[in-house]
Amino acid sequence: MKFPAILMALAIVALTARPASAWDIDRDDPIFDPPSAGVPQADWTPEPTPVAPPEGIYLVTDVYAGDSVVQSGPVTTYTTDTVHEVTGSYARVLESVGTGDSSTFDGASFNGRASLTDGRPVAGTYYENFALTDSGFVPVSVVFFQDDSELARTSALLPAAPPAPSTTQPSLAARVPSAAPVEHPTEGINAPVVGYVSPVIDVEDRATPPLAPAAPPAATALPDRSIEVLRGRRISILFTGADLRTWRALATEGIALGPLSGAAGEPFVIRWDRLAPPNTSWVSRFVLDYADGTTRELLVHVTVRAPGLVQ
Amino acid sequence: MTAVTTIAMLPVLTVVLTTTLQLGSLRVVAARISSAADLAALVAVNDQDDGELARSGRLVPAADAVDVARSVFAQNLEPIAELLAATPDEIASTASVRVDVTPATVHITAVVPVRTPLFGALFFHPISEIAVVANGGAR
Repeated sequence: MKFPAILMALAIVALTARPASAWDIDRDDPIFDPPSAGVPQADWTPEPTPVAPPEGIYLVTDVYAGDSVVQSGPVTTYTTDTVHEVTGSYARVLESVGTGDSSTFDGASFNGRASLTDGRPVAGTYYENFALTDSGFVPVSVVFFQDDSELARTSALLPAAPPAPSTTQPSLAARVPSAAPVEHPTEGINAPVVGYVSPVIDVEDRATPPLAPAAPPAATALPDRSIEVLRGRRISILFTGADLRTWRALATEGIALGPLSGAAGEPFVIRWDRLAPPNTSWVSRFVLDYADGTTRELLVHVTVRAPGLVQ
Repeated sequence: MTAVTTIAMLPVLTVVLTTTLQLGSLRVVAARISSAADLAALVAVNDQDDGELARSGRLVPAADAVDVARSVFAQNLEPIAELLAATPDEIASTASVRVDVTPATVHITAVVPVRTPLFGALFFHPISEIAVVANGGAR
């Protein structure tokens, strides 16, 4: 019974076998469609052989549609709108630039490069567009795709802080006798999100003469110190001292959540969202003005730690 | 012959199937208990002693880290409370919670009784205990 069934199956397969009409897409010689019956043979020309783009150039599938600046609360996001469309143009990446970085392509793009509120150019990527012609890929334009964000910044807070009220220092000295920046919990502080201090040195600070031609007496100068904080935790750094008048943040990796300068006793509210590289710590720079007219820079080394499961 | 074999093997198959199901359920419950302890340790270590931060700048867990760990552990056990042989509060209160200052670490060790009715029917073992250890630290 089994043997006839197998024979019958083989017979059915053999009788219904037909040659397959397949097309090998990897075959080197192109296949041209013959001219249709209505087209004279003389007018018909085969389709040109597809040209493989050079390395680095790719077919554009998302077309630039405009720059977009979206503000959500204190965060302003700079993005680029695109439309999914295949127009037959090609593009390649010229350069990716970071926030504030200059590029040789600045000014070359047809859409320009926007700036943050502090004047630094936004981060993004420059692309060069190409059109495929008979002579090959011809560059036609440069476009900048912006991709950046910033926290709202109150520029009015950046200049030097006003002199401290004369009544502030005695109370602070009595309350915190320590001559060091003191961190306090921030549960009771509802400081608005108003600033971000870049970890780079401001041009204004770089142009000023040395801050401390004569260091203040050791008894009154706040020493550098190190702190450990949890990532993302909001803390206040309080600068106290009998002779301290004002403070100003120069550079920090953290995200400022309050004024960037203030009088002695006014907290610097900040949080750190990024961990420093292994075995290193962030350094925050401050400028302190003392009552005797001297100015001195203070460094705070910040070690950011993140909770996690351990063995 | 086939019928006889089936009848003879049916109790064995039943025991094997029941044990498999109960073990699978136990593994799921154990995973959820472990997650509850892990999250409790993380939450407990995710707070800083502000007084110590002001004094020395060091990262030291908050003084109520032990209470926070027990509370969060109990809250995380609530969704599976009906599978447990004790209340989440009882389990959390009997758990061992230790806080290391340097480096800031929270250790949770607990023994959680879990209802295993199928084991009870088969092996007279209606409650199985699952030991869980979770360590959370700020690194």
